[in-house]
Amino acid sequence: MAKSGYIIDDEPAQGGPYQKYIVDPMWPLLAVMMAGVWLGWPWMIFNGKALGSPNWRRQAETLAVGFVGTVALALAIVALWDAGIIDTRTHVRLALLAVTVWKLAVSYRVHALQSGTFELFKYYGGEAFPGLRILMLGVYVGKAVMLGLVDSVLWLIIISGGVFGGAMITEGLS
Amino acid sequence: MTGSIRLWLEHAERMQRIGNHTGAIDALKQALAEEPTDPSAHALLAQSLLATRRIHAAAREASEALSLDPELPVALFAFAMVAIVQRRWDDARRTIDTLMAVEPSDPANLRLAAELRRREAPRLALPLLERARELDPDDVHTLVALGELWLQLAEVDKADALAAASLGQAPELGSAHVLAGQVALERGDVEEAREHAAAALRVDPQDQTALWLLTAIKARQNALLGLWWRFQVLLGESGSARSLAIQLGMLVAVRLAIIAADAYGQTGLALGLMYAWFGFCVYTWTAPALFNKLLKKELETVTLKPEF
Repeated sequence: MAKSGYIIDDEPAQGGPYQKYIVDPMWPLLAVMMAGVWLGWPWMIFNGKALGSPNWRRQAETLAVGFVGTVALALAIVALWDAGIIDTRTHVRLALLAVTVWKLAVSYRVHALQSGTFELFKYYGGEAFPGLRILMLGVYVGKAVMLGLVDSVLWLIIISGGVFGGAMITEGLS
Repeated sequence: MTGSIRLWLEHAERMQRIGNHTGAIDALKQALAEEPTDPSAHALLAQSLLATRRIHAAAREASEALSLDPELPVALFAFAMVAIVQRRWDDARRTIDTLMAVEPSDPANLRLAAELRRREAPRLALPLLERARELDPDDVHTLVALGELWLQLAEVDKADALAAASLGQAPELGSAHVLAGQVALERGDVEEAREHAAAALRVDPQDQTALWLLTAIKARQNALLGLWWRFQVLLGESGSARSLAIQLGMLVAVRLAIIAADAYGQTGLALGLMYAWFGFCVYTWTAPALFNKLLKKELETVTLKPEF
């Protein structure tokens, strides 16, 4: 870690109780794609906090905006479906593509904010926690549990992954 | 300014001169721990952070330096450098105008102004660099900047002559080696280019331009991995927002094509596109790891200068 008293804006904070759980920001990003935002976004917030990212607040705000936007898009899709405006499988897939792009844009943004701090964390000798285990657990166990938690298409649209999960929602709506 | 801060600043400048920006950053952090409102320390820190590609932090430090002393040349210089890298052209132009008003005959300022002009229309940078050369014909940094400009203008012979002149004056200057390496690469002499990149890295293993040159050489030697690197260069040149837009745009284009193919009953085509996209994802996932491995292997052969 940095040795002197002056902290540069992108430097990770020293110490911290969660430092041993810091992962490469790539893993939460992959979690968004493969498991869903239910895992990826909270993981991003936690990782940013554990890293002591100086821009953690901005990351949290970005994710909050991302969540509100996702809910709004999901509500709009369900409303358009109920109103019969979206009425074919192709329409549903196109609408879901907008949600996917939104979720990925938000996630990439936060990933970019976290990456610089993570690189410095490694530069100062920090050891990263292996994120693959958490990702696998999320994909193979958590995803099934979370998707089955609430029997609602709205829920599926909100929590599903950035890339995978579209087929299930399409089936649910049509 | 207290004596110990002056010592830290002098030490940092010495580190910067030999290209050891990591050492400079450490020294400047010590200076700022003692005197957090020293504008020169913030400005020098911004320059070193920029040299190590910590652009966001460099921008913060440059702004801090300028807010502490809006007319300090070193602060104006750092702020303009950051603005150029961040493609904030109006900020860069305004700051360079102020800087030129304060110090109109400093070759370094003319080179900075030329750097900005180069982004707009390379030929317009030429008079500025010629003027800098008139002011100080022995300034090797001006020779290198002129060589880089000629190379950009596809005048390889002129660039070559300037690279040779720069190396004649300063045989250990990293930027002169990088220029000579770029010229060699342009001529297709990969081995000579590699030697120049290694020479620059011996002086400073974190020299971004030397690493860039070495990467370009590796990309030329391996067409498959080179493709990934060219894609990265394209994204990198676009800035972070545009790079994100390009990547998401590619995803949208592929998804739209798959949806359209499905809608028109072309399931085979849709499946093919899905596999192609998956292949691209796997390639972009593995290529950087392989590429970094190649680069690391190459870097392990570089012996550092003792003073580094």
